[in-house]
Amino acid sequence: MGDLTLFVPEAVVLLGAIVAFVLSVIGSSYRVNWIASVIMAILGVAMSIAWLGAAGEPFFPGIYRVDAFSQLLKVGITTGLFLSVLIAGNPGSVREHSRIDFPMFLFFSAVGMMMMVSATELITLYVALELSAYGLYILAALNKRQREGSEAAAKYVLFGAASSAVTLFGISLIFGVARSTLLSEIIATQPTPLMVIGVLLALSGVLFKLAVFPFHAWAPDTYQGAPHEAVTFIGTASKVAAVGVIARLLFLAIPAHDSLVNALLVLCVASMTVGNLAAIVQNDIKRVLAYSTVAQAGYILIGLVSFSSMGVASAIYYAVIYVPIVFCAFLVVCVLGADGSNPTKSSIAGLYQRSPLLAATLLVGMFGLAGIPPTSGFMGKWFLFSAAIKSDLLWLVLIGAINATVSLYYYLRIIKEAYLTPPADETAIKVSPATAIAAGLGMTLVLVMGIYPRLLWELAEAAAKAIN
Amino acid sequence: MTDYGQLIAYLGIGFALGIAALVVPSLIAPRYKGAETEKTYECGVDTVGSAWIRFGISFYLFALIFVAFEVDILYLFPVALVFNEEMFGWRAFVEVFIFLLILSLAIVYAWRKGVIRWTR
Repeated sequence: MGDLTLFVPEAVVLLGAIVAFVLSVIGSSYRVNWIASVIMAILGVAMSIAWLGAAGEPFFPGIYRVDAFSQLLKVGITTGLFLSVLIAGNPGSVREHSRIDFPMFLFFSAVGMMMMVSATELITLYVALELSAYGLYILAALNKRQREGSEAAAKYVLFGAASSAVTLFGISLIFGVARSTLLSEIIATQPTPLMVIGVLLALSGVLFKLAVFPFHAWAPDTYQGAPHEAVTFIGTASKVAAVGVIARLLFLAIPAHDSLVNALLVLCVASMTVGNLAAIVQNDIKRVLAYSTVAQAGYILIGLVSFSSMGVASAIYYAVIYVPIVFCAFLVVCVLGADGSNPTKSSIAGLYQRSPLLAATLLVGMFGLAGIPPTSGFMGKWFLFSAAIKSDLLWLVLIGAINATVSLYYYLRIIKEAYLTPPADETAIKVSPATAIAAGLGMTLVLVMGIYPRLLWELAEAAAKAIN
Repeated sequence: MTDYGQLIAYLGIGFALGIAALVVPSLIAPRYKGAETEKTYECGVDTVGSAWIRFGISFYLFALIFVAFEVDILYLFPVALVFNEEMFGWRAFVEVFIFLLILSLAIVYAWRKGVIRWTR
């Protein structure tokens, strides 16, 4: 047994889940449950930040590693959790009688994600992956409009189960070749084609979470049908965890192998292109964001296929800054869809007149996604593209840049609707204090990390060193 | 090319097993046709009555809780095996107790949410 204090950040989030469970079982009001959850989530973020420098192995040797890499991603995950909980003070899209359980599943899922990025053994990794997924499956089903919620959850579960099966099969192949499930021992074995196929199959489970092209089909429907607050969490924290696992598998498990790189290059290009082109024709804002997630996953893969220390660092950086950016976009969706409906391009019209704060949040979110300075989205893309250029992937950067330009069209069109189109209904939108604070926090994070990227970039570089 | 030997062997064995699973039974399985073959499904107990009867949907939740427990009982067997050994006795007892305590939270949850209450 190692040093159990290294597990404190996860333990705090787990405690948050238990608190939410107890409050749900004793039948307290949602308000009380929410306040307790916000406090526990703040504690989770604080502990993750305090444990940033920690390194070591809390459990049996080789299965669970706490290092600069896992700790930085845990900060990203807990931030996503905290922000998602903070705006769920009155989750209008969540079914009335299920509301009380909402925070519990968020916390359980977050624990799974935090364990995912630390796991250095395939079975541990798989169990953590499932732990994080189950909470999300249930969250997706809690929509007020039951039919759509069930559809969203059913699609999510079916796709998730299928990719889990593929992952398990891939793990069995890896185990067959390497005769070990410890990543540290797998890296010592010679990568044979069988091993490479195993790794590709094993990756599919996480590529599914990240909604990379051939595994993306669930994303638009699940985003559309799941409650807004749940999608906020799915769209932020789970992406960080997925990037973490992919990076670990790629760099801890096997040295760069040509066929693996080629396969990932194809996924990367396809993801960017399909995501951006499909997003253009969507009318539902949540569907736009879903397809934009697919495209963003492609950008993140650029960093990972660069197969360099800088590439990993840029992917980690992008994954972490992506949390507040997407959060800004989803916050607006949550407020506009407080009655349970999905905001469309027309319901967003004239948002500036109805609520300047929301319009500003949307602006920051969309600029961040499009990668316009001074938001952190720009710095993120900058790092990704320069890492790719350093690895002689100029053509990939060109495709990425073309895609970023295409994406400008639909991101800016939303902004245009919000700022320039006159509203159909001029009543001001009421924003609760907690949501206003969350909006301020989200915008601050996006802008600060865009103007002063150095601190986070240094952490990301240290993280990349920790797994290389 | 030799690297791919593993892969080809693996694929070959996979296909061979798949084909064998179809061919071998068709060669050695007894051909028999009778009342048993016509049955909707075989479970060792003779099927009675029509399938179109009404039953309480509440059973579905009971079944779920049952599954949650049934699978977990498997984990008690390893403990039962080492229970008699010197170094495990009390420690195993306490650990299993904690394990069951965590499991029973599921029942507590179901109970408090009114799953066990029989409503029609």
